[in-house]
Formats: sequence, C-alpha cells, structure tokens
Amino acid sequence: MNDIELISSYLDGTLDEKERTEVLARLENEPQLRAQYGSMKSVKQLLSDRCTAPVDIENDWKQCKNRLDEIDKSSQAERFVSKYAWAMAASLFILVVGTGVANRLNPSRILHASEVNRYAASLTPGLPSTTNSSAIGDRYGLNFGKPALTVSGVASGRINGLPISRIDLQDVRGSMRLVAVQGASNIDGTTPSEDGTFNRCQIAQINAVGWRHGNTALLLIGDRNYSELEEVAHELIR
Amino acid sequence: MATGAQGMTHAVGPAKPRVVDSLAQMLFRKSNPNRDKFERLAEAVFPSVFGTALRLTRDREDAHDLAQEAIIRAYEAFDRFDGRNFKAWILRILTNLYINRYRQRQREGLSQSLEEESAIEPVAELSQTPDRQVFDNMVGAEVETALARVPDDFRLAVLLSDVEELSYEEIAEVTQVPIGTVRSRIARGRAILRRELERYALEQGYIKQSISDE
Repeated sequence: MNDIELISSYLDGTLDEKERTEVLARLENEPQLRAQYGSMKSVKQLLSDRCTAPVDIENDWKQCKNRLDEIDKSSQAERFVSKYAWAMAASLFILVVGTGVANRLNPSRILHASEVNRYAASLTPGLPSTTNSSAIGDRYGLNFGKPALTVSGVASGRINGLPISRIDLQDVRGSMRLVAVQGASNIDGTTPSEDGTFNRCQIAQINAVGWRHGNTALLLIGDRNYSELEEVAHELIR
Repeated sequence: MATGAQGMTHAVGPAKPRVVDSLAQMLFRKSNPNRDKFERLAEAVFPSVFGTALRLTRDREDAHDLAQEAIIRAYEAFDRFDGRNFKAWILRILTNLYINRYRQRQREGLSQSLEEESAIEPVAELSQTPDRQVFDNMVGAEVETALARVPDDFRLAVLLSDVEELSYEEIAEVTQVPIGTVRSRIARGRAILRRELERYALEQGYIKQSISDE
C-alpha cells in the first residue's frame, strides 16, 4: 500500500488497528503526508457537499414506472396464455368441430353455376325408366311427356349436402343437360334475362338458363343460344 | 334534447378510461405482489441510480436510458435479489449495463481506461496549493466538470464512495473487483480529482500559476 492509498484508507476508516496507529504516528511526524491527508479529506468533503442528487428526475421515474406497467401487462398476458392455453386450444377445437357440424346440418344454400355443372358432370347417368322420369318430373315440376324431347339418362347425388339430379335430354337439335338442386336458395354467376323469366349464364362457353321451382334451382345447359334454351325450358315447365 | 344527450356523453366519456385503468391496475397488482415492494425500494434509490448514471455517461439523455434500463433489468431479476442491499445490487446492474453498452461506445475516446490503470501516476502527487484557494470558489457544476475528467473506473469508485457513501465491500460488489483494487482506485481517483480541480481552478483564474507551482 503506497502513501496515498494509506491515507485514503485511513480517511475512510478501513485500516486495522495496527495500520491506523502507524498512520497516526506518521501524520504527526511528516508534514508533507499531513498536507496530503488534509487535501484528500477536502476532496472527499467537497464531493460529499457539492455533488448533490440530480434534480428534476420525477419525470424520469414516472417513465420508469410506465415501463414497469408495460412489463406487468405483457407478463400478465403471458401468464394468462400459459395458464389457459389448454382451454383456448379446446375452444378452438370446439369451434372448428362446431363449424363443421353446423355446415353439415345447415349446408351452404348458395351454389355457383359452374360448380353445379362440374358436379353434375361427374355423375354417371343411368338409363331412365318411364316411372323414373315421371317421378323426377313430379318432383321438379317438369313435363317430360313432350314427344320431341326424350330423357336419355338420369343420375342423382348430393352437392354441399343438398340433393342434386342430372337429367340428360335429347331433341332434334342435339343433347342438353338439366341439373336440379333441391334446397339451393340461389345459383350464383347468372344474370336475369330481359323479361326476367330466366337467369342466363355461360359455363365453359356453353349457354345455360336457370329458373326456380319451389325450393329447387334448375339449370338447363346446352350448346345453343339462350332463346332456344328458354324455349325448351318453357316446354319443360308445366 | 340533442344538447342534453351531448352533455351526458361528455359527462360519462372521460370517466370510462379511468375506471378501466384502475380495474386493470387492480388486476395486475393483485397478480404481481412484488411490484409494490420493488417500486418502494427502487423509488428510494432512484436519485442515486440516476445520479450515478449521469456521472458515468455525462449526458442526461444517456443517463435517462441507462437508469431506466437498470430499473427494468432489476425488476425482471427481482426474484433473484437476496434481500440484503438493494442499492448496491441495483448499482451493480447499472454498472454492468454501462460497461457493456456505453463504455464500449466511448472506449475509443477515453484517454485512460481499466487496462491502462497502471499508467496512472502511482501517487499522482498531491499539490501543495492551499485547498481553500482551490476549492472555496467551486460550485457543484464545476466539481462535476472536474469529476468528469477522471477516468471511468476511478471516477466510479470515488463517486460510489464519496457521493453514494458505499463501503469498500459494497463498492467491490458493485464493480466486481477485489477490495484491494477498490482501495487503490479510490485513492488514485481522489488524487486525480484533486489535480483536475486544481487545473480547473487555474483555468478559471481562481488560483495563479505561481501559487500552483510552489
């Protein structure tokens, strides 16, 4: 320990008894050391007296508290999530399953014309019997008895949970496809004709006309113009 | 009628956030019992935390950031506080933050640093200029200016000892160096400060060169 450290430690009262006695003796006999001690004491006193606490720090402390609030809030949110993660996962599961069940019980009642045609095309039609054609006609308000129009095939299925029938028709101009969806509230992608009797649309560049019978939406698709299709539709509708 | 409805809206409107805020405060306070205890302890030592930060960084904005960061770090680590000396504990966090963040940035500008400790004159001969001539005219800001000229490690040791009145053991804990090093830094720091004060007094004309050279 050099002299400066010795007098500094003496000033701070950190010397042991023996060291303290030695310093005291030296301070009495060595004026220069005594002067250095006095000078160091003044420095210590000066710092203690004149280096006061900083002023105007209330706002700084307030900002610290705001940051602590933010930490509390985010850690509370984390705790909540970790505590109730299972409940949230269960809720999500119930929501997904519930939505599925609800969709199953209450299927979408709005279908798009192209979607209906695509599904109908995937069905494999069987040969129709007279009884079969008559039953379909009764169900959808159609008259298949016109001699110029023959039913060449019939198929049934379900689209979005709704019953769908495909009836293939034949007349002198060629073949057509009639699709009936029971319970469909609307068929999207169609626009009303001038007189508003039918809705018109194109599916894969083939014309189609649509109309409603009770709770059934019907779509007649054929490679001919709208007027010709509407003429056939008029003949079909009783 | 419309006026009445508007009046009612104005009367009820501002009250809502207060209710929500107090409710939120009640809720998170309830779920975090340490917060009150921490806040009480931290508020009591905040002047020391901010003052030390200010004397280390020598910039109010940096001091604000450093002090705030120290408070937040301390809060996050409060469950690891041993309950003995909060002031020393939080000053240790502050010092570590300062060393890791600010001093790295300032290191290039420092004339003397920890590594250069041995380069400091071992005794830094205390001048014979009468103390009263050096110190009497000095105000707080001038002392702070002189203190700012003392190299980091010595300045920290001196201010922890003479301004914050920590014991050598506490300073050793804060600065994470042996007590012998603390003793040495305080002694040298005071000697350097004495020299800087004298230099400042000369610059300001409080003392004359001839007196200083005596």
